[in-house]
Amino acid sequence: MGDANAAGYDIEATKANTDYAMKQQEAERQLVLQGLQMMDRAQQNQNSVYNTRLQNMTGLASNLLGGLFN
Amino acid sequence: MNNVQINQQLPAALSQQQMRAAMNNQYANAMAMGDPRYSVKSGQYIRPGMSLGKGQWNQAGIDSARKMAEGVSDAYRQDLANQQYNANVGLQGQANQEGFTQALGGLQQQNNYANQMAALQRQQTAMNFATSLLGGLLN
Repeated sequence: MGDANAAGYDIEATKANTDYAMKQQEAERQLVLQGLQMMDRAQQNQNSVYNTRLQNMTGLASNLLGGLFN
Repeated sequence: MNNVQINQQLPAALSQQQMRAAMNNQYANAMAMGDPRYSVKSGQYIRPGMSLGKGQWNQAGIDSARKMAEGVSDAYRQDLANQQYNANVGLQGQANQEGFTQALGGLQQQNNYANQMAALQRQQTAMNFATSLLGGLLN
């Protein structure tokens, strides 16, 4: 019975390791996805800031020119 | 700080060697049950002051055959369960990988869309400015 128990223990230990590794891998994937989402959001925010600045600058130039040549 | 790795290979599930070892051991234990003496020695046929007759030995033989059959059945059932476990691990790993890939693709698409919209907005700003200039000049 000792050998049978050892073989059974070996099987269960491998199952536990495999289950743990799978859960860890899935958690890492979720972490990677969240990181990428945050990076994308940061890039979109940067785009938004840049565009707003551009609009402000062109608006300012337009007003200035309009005032000068009026 | 831990490094996050993606696309890493899953550790191998149950190996053929492990499953064979478990199967062999369970099978051997089941075969050992086939000895009627084991059933006799288990105590249920031993009564104080009574010798074992043919009836008891006959019943012990029947019990042994039953235990042996149950043991063999259990060994095969366990082996099947182990193989099923391996198949499930492979399937689950594949499903996880597929879900991750789809999520990555969706994210990339959204990001491209957002970038294109931002570029379009800049184009519109530039065109509005040019329009204002030309409108002022030609007025």
